[in-house]
Amino acid sequence: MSGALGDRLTARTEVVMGTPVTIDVAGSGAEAAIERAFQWFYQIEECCTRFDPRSELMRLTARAGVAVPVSAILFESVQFALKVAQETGGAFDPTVGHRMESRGFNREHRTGNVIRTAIAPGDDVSYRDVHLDTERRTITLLRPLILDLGAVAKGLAVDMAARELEPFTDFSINAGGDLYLGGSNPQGQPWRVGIRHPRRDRELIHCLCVSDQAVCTSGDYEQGRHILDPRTGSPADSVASATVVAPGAMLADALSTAAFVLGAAEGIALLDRMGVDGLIVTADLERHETRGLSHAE
Amino acid sequence: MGWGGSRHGDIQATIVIEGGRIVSAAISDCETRYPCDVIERLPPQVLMRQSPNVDRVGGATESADAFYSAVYFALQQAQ
Repeated sequence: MSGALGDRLTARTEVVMGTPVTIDVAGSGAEAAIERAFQWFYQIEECCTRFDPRSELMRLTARAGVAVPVSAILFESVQFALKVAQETGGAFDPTVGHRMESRGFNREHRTGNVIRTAIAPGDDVSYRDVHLDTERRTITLLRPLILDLGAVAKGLAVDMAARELEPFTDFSINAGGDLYLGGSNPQGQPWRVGIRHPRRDRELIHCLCVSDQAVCTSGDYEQGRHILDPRTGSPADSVASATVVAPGAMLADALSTAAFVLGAAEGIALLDRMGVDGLIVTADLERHETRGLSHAE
Repeated sequence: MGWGGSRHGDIQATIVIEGGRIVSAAISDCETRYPCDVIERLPPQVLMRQSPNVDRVGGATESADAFYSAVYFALQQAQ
């Protein structure tokens, strides 16, 4: 189906995972696919949120030391998060949940309820304290800890939504600034994506062209200094914004978080090693980018 | 015109649409428990994000707040 100018556009916005999510699809008859796409967001949020003690993730947290059988969604999310943790030497680490909670990132966006999980993890818990059994699809927390799957879960939801919308070829998903752009824009060209300037609200710091790719950014400007360096427990402060362009949002989101923590030089080296492109803007507003990063005219 | 609510209070947004594009976005009533200037940077973003030069704007995750809800419901009413 062509996304040429004049085609009908089907669009829907809902607030889910603590952020406005907008899906636009070129062509008609997309309502059912858009509904299925949004269902992924709700289902993955319900499974992976650390803000609800009844979520599958938090029920797992309550059973440290036990091999707990889990859903495919939770298993895939944790398995992916652990792989990125290994690849980044712990610059990305899903076991920062308790530190996030104790630093005040503990409020559920829908109800405003404050979460306090009654465990006392050691300061030195890390991704090495999570054991996966692929055959039995079980997760064992070797020590009491809280997993934070925020970035991974949202990325997974975007990727699953994109899969639902693939038959329509030309579509976009915007999950609070994390994007997946399928096919072409309404003019039949690659999508032109502006990246927000981390310090000037009305300006863009970069513009790139993409098709069938995700563009995700980690920054210090929307929710304050909320990204911790898992290796030190302190907020990462050398970077203002890290953007990654990758085939999927789960990868782009996790790597943008890791690049944010690693800083400009190590961050760009990570993106090169992983074969993805990106732009890192330091706190001093220095730009560092991979060689292959696209520049829209 | 639309209302949006959050745990901090309610906000009313006025959106003007001409020729299918948003030409202005403003906070027309603010009943939040924090000063409204905390969110005064948000209305210009609504215009920026439909810049003629880009199709979409990416950035760090936005939190769901009353202003976004208000804009959303204002747009719904305009349909």
